Amino acid sequence: MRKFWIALFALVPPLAVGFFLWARGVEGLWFPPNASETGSDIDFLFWVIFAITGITFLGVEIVFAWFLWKYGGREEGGKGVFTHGNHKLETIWTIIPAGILVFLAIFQYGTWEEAKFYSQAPDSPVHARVLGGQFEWRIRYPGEDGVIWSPDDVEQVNELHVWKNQPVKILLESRDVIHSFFIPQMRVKQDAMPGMKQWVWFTPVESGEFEIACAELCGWGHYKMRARLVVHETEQDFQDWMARATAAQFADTEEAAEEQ
Amino acid sequence: MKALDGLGLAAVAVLTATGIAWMSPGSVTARGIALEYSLRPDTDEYGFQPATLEALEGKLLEKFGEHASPHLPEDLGDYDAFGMGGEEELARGRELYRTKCLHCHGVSGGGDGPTAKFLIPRPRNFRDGKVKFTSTLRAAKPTREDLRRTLRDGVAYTAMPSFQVEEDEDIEALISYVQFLMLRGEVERLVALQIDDEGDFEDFEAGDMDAAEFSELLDEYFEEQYEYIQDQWGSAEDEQVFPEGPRPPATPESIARGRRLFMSETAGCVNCHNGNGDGKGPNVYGEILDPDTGEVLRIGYKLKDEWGNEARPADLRKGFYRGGNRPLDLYRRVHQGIKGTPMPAIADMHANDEDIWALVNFVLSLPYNQ
Repeated sequence: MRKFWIALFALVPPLAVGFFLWARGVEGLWFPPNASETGSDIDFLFWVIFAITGITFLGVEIVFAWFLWKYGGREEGGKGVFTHGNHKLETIWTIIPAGILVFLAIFQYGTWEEAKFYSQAPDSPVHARVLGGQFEWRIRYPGEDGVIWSPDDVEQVNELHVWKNQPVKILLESRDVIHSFFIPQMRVKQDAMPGMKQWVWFTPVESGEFEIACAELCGWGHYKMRARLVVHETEQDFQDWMARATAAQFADTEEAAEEQ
Repeated sequence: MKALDGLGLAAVAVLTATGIAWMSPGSVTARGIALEYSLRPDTDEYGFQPATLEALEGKLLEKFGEHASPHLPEDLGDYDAFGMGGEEELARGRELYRTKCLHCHGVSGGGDGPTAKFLIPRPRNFRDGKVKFTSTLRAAKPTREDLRRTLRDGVAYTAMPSFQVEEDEDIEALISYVQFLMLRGEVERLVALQIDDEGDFEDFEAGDMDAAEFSELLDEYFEEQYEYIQDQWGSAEDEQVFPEGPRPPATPESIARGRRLFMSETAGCVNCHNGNGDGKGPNVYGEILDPDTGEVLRIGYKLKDEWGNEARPADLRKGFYRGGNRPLDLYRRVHQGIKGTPMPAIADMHANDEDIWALVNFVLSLPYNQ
């Protein structure tokens, strides 16, 4: 039995490494490819942390298996070897992680500031207001006057349109509970708090369609709170779409309704 | 010790296998969930005996198929009248309905799924063949486009979410299945009403009529009601409401005219939507009296819709509109009201196009007045 347990725990490190190597190549298991400007910084941070925790994990697992072999009871029913700890060792393994933590806290600060501090938000006018609610995203564009909440607003559900290389600035709100506005490819995730205004910004560098998901369990329908991000190739494409959406929004006759 | 380990492992294996079998697609059919076909609980008031209910249920099963294989009646059904794609599409629609709609709208579309009772407003009961927000006249069926819009855009600020990200063909299949549930529920109810009206079920239950005769009679009623409803669906497109002219600009004059109408006794909007548009007018919110004793039971919403649920008029200051936020949608809402609710059709009050547009302009200005 002893050998079985040693073998089981000794298997964890190679299995874990193997799994991660395999998962890298499987779509849907690893990070979706980054499609935003600041995303590479965030990915870099991810890799730094992943390397630190990964090496620590492997080390711990190897020591664990080795201890099982070295100190476990030798024969069936035999007792293992127990010790009462080691002051010096405890000091060392407290100081090293604390050092890593302080390093990470300082090291990540620039990226965090860039991604989350409002002073770093682009100067561009607000692109849209995204209102999370159980269980959908309502997206309101300011219309021609650039002011959100005026009669010329264009409101859409579950579809956010932007264009490539646009510094997108979004006002995020919630109408009921806490939601989280998550666009994996843009490396953006921000909670939407009822009663608060949050700002989210990102600059897509690739056109295409991406998923917007709610990343905060917000109720029984949380799983279906999905929306679509459409990144147009050029600003002109976006403006063309916007013109169509505006015409649809203000449809008032049979002809206007049929044109959609 | 070893024996216990083995037992534990076996138990986990059995539970896992059961779980997988339970949740796998098609298992609902395999388990043979009973068809809650016949009738909503309230039809019990007819006092049908089990034999009558069984005959009725048998007839409906024969005509519309088992739950797992929905189809229109073979002799009478016309998929084109509904704009449906056919039997395969219905089966696909049913699969999608089960995963995305059933938990609110219920197995048979009765608006009685497990999550329904937590929601205000309640999910739509399709079995009355009526939905609230359509482009058609008050008595007419919705068009496919109306159902499509509701699925795509959701119903703003209710539990009905938007299915914007679904594939087109999935949306079409869902529309067809919802039409099917509306059709089946309505036919069922009308046939039940008819045998109640004519008193045939009493003959049958007393033994004066044998099963074959009763079945024939049901066939006859079924055909009559089915054709009547299918024709309504077929003509829904022709019953759409369109304004005579485009929306006039929202000038202060037009808004002021709308406001006058809104406040007037003729249109009566103010009685429910209130002077400031908050939807808590004198008719709506207040003391609810006990019908017998006249005592005040509580303070709350007094209006009910046809489904027996609380009807809360819209707060027009919020800037969202459940039936769609296009001027055209608002025009139709004012023109034909909201089906099944106390919101009336102003067109019945001899309002002209200009009046309605003025009202729309006023309503659209309300959120931005503060």
